[in-house]
Amino acid sequence: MAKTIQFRAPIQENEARLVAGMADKRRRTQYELYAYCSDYFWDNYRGVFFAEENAAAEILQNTFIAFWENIERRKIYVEDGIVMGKDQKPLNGSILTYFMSIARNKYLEYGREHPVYADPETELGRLLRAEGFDPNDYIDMLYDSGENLMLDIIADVISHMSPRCSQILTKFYYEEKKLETILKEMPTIESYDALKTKKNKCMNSLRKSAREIYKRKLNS
Amino acid sequence: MDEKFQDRIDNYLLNRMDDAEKTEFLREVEQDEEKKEQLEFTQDVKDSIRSREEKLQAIKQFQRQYEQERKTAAYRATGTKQAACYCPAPEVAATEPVRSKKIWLWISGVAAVLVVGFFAIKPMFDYESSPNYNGAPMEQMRGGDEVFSPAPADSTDNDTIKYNIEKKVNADE
Repeated sequence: MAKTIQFRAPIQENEARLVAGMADKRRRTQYELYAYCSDYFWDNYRGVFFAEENAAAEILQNTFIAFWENIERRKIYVEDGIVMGKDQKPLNGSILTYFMSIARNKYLEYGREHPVYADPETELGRLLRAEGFDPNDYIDMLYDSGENLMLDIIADVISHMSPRCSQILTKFYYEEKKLETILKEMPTIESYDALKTKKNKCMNSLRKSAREIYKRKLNS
Repeated sequence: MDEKFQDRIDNYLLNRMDDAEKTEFLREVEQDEEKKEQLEFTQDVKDSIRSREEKLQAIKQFQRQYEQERKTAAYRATGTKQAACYCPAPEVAATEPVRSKKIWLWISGVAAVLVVGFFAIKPMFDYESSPNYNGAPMEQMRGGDEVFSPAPADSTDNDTIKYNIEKKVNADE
């Protein structure tokens, strides 16, 4: 059987090494990939979307987390020294192009969360409208269909939670603290019952948002 | 959302149940699709929060290292072989004499303009110190006041009649 020989440029070899190292949880390589993506992001983000520097830094952070999770969930992976993407095919172009496409989606999300970015009265708002921004239109781009769809959506919704909800749920589920302990650490919450109600409201809100996105994705 | 059942889900996921409670809980979940879905959702939330928090912490370290390395790169770009440090970069010291030369050039230039300006402007104001201060252009001429001083008001020098007579006399001659 004839075997297809794939020629790889040094850049592709390096990118395959970085993705493989990320998947293998090698700290040094994880940092190398972060620096590789950051350099490219800061040099090129102005050509991809319009954002102030602080907003861009937040977008970079969320983009890298999503990129990292995509490697962990093997949406992109390395096979025979080649970076593979959707449908087990080699990734088209550089991983940096892939990274910037996530960044662009994160930027659109940012516009949804920060009304000034979508406000038609502002310069930024006008630019977004000129681009045809509609929050419902890009859901397809954000989530791949597959068995991890709901997990993808939840991860995304969590990244947009209010700071208060994020604080409570992180202390409860990540730090595994009891509500009594959390109450002592958050003196602005007046009672145990109030904290419990808040925590349940946050969960309800998360659930509602995730379900809505899930349904929209299935309908699309 | 069933809030009482949510408490039990949390206790299960956070290992706050004994074995008997766990068995009972799992049996209950298997028989009820809604409860199963609630458990799966909470498990996903817990996993996502853990994943995000771990990555955020790692990214904070990456960011610090990234900024540090960019500073290092900026120092190394100066051409030194030394390891990066926060001491003043060599090129700053190298440019110091050039800057001081320029300052002296400016100072001497300004001084020259002032000296030339002083000598150019001074004579224009000298008549103000004249004793009779009448501001006549004649005052700026060379020579003593007695030579070029104007004729007194009662002098016959200004008498045109006298002048004409003298002229006529001369003509007769």
